[in-house]
Amino acid sequence: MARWLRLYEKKRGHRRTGSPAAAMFGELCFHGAVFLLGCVGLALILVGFVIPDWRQNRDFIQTDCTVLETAVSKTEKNGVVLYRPAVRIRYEVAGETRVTTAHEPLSRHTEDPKQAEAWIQPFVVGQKYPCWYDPANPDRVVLVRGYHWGYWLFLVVPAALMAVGGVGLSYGLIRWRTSAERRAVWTRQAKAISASEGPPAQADQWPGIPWFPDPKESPGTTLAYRLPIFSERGWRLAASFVVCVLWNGVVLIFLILGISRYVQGNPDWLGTAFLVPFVLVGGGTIYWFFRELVLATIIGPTLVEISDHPLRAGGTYELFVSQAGRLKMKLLEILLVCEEEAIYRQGTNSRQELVRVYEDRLFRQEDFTISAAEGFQARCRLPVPPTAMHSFQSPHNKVQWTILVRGQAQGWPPYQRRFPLIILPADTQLPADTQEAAPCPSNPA
Amino acid sequence: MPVQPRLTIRLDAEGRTLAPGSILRGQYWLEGVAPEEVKAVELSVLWYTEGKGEEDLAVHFFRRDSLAHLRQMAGRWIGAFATQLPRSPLSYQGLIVKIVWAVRVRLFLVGGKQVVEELRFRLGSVWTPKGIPK
Amino acid sequence: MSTGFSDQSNPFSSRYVRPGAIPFFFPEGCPVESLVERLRENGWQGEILGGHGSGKSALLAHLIPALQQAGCTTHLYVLHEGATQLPEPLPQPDPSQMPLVLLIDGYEQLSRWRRFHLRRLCRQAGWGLVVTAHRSVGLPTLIRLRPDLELAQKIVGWLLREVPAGITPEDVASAYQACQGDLREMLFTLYDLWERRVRDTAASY
Repeated sequence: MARWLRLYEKKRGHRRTGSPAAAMFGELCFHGAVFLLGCVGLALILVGFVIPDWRQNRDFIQTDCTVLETAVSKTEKNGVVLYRPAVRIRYEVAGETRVTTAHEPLSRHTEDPKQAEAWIQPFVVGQKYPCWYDPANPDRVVLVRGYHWGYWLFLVVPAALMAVGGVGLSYGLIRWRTSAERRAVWTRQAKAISASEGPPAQADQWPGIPWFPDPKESPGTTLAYRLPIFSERGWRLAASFVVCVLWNGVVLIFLILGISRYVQGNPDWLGTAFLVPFVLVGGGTIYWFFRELVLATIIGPTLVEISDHPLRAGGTYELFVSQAGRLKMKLLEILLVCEEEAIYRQGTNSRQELVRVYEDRLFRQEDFTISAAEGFQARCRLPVPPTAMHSFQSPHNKVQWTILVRGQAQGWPPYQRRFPLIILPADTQLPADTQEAAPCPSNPA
Repeated sequence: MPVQPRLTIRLDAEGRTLAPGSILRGQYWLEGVAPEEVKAVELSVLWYTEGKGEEDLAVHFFRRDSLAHLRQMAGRWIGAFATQLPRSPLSYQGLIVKIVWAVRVRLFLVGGKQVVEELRFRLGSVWTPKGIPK
Repeated sequence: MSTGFSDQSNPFSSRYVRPGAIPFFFPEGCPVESLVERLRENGWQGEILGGHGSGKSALLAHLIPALQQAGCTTHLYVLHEGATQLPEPLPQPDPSQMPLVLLIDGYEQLSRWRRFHLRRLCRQAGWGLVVTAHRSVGLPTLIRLRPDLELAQKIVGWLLREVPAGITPEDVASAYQACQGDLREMLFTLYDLWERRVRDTAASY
């Protein structure tokens, strides 16, 4: 039932009853109710607060009014005494004189009588002031305009309910209309067919080989193709950013509410104390984000371009690497590596193992300086052994080729950036009867 | 003692290494079984992974025959097959990931029993890595 | 051995050592029939306890055909790491399928609430429940697995029964000790050892 609120879950589970159909129906009802609640909430907030607020500032017509009387009225609600400022005015609309009490938003209702008094103080009986009336209902008139942004923030809650309920409802309806057999066929096809995710033509041409984009989609500036980077650091940076923004966004809303109450002279010390640990955690996420940012950017971006892609076993290519930053480098290396990756599930354990089976150092330079203005650039040859195994990917097994740029700057921890690439089988693949399978050169010169 | 069904697979190619894109031809024959015992014979040309990872599998060529589709000769039932092999994935004897190509014949008998025979072959010719010490 | 093509697979590959692929070597005096009988006495409820790599999943895989032979309908659920819900829906109550036994590998990964709910459901439906866990989860203990070196040698002996010699009993003992009795890890260690030896042998030709 609470499945959609639990972000870490990947699989769908079961419901309370033993009947999938009843459970599916229950799930649809739940998501439908959440969605409906969101819609109702959205409608109430829009109609009750947001639209009137917007109209006051856009549609109301200005005129002059005379203040007849000012007072602070007292009401009691749920045992709480509230003081409400009231200003009685006289104004004209289309030649007709009207006398009414100016409308004020609910935020003017306060537990502090002094606050209510302070609000009416600027208005002197007998003096003229500008006012704005609703053309659709001239008896509705305000003395002060301005947007109350708090109302708009409240929209977040029903919007979230609608998103959760709407997605759950759509998803449930899709599943409802798909038979279990059809889903099983999809699963079986996905398992049995090559793991290539690209267009069918590529998967038919090169079964078992991971999809590779058209080189034109990522052209280089120096060589033909720019390799995309794969960096764990990038994922950590993205994750820290998302967590930081979400957490601090929510904390900020409550902080603003707390501060506004304090400014109004009605501080909520208990609420503030409750907020402190959340603020501290928010500070921690900010630190985490900036730390990841520094680590990811201090070294500067690394670009790798190649003369052709995908590569072929037996081919020789040109590689261009550029490293930005202002650094004193102890070492910079460029390597071509091949790794095997296997995912296995034994019992209830899920494990992943990575083994490097080939490594060729293409470039190495020690003790040099990278200037901020010029950066660092290197070109080198990239030979692919003729009997190299091509790139391979299936659901649980992989043979992957990567360009590794490894660097060590003075005063910073060593860094490593990975640029995956695709190697296809050699153009000519002859049977071993006519060609001996060469041993794998693990560490060629 | 009752005679056990026997399946044998033979490839036409000299040796068991074939080039990508070449035609894989061969025969299989079935002995030691009465015709009324046989429900069907399935032939697959497939690749599967071995090693430390979960086994992945893909069927390149598949055919289901009844005995009526097979040729009988000297007490054997013989089936022939031919298929053009793809360009990938090539056979590979890695450290923790291996790719194995095979012709697999599965005999379905009345009563639910199955007999399976497999003949491996090599597609292409790539290295056998030794691994990099850590 | 050539560097190229070979029919010989590594006998410790995952396809040969996955649960169900190796016969379960039941402890002395505790054949599978006795486990089935014990389950029957306990209303088809039981827990299989043991540490990592002790063979819980393997035993479960071997229990299934024995339960089916005893007339039970079985449904197996395997909860992999991180899973907190059953991966598939529970079966629909069906009198023709009784007695029905749910087998859950990795029961501890379910939350307490889900476990409570599942047990209540099984009670109401009259279903059996057999689970694997590292510690007791409140069901009648069917068996507590404590693998030893002798069992490890038996398993490796079975895996190498049709394979030329390549792994010695001393290798097994060394791997078993290094993996502190975790049979699964021991088999992976032997996998690496086999590969190393095959390649070293090939290189020497």
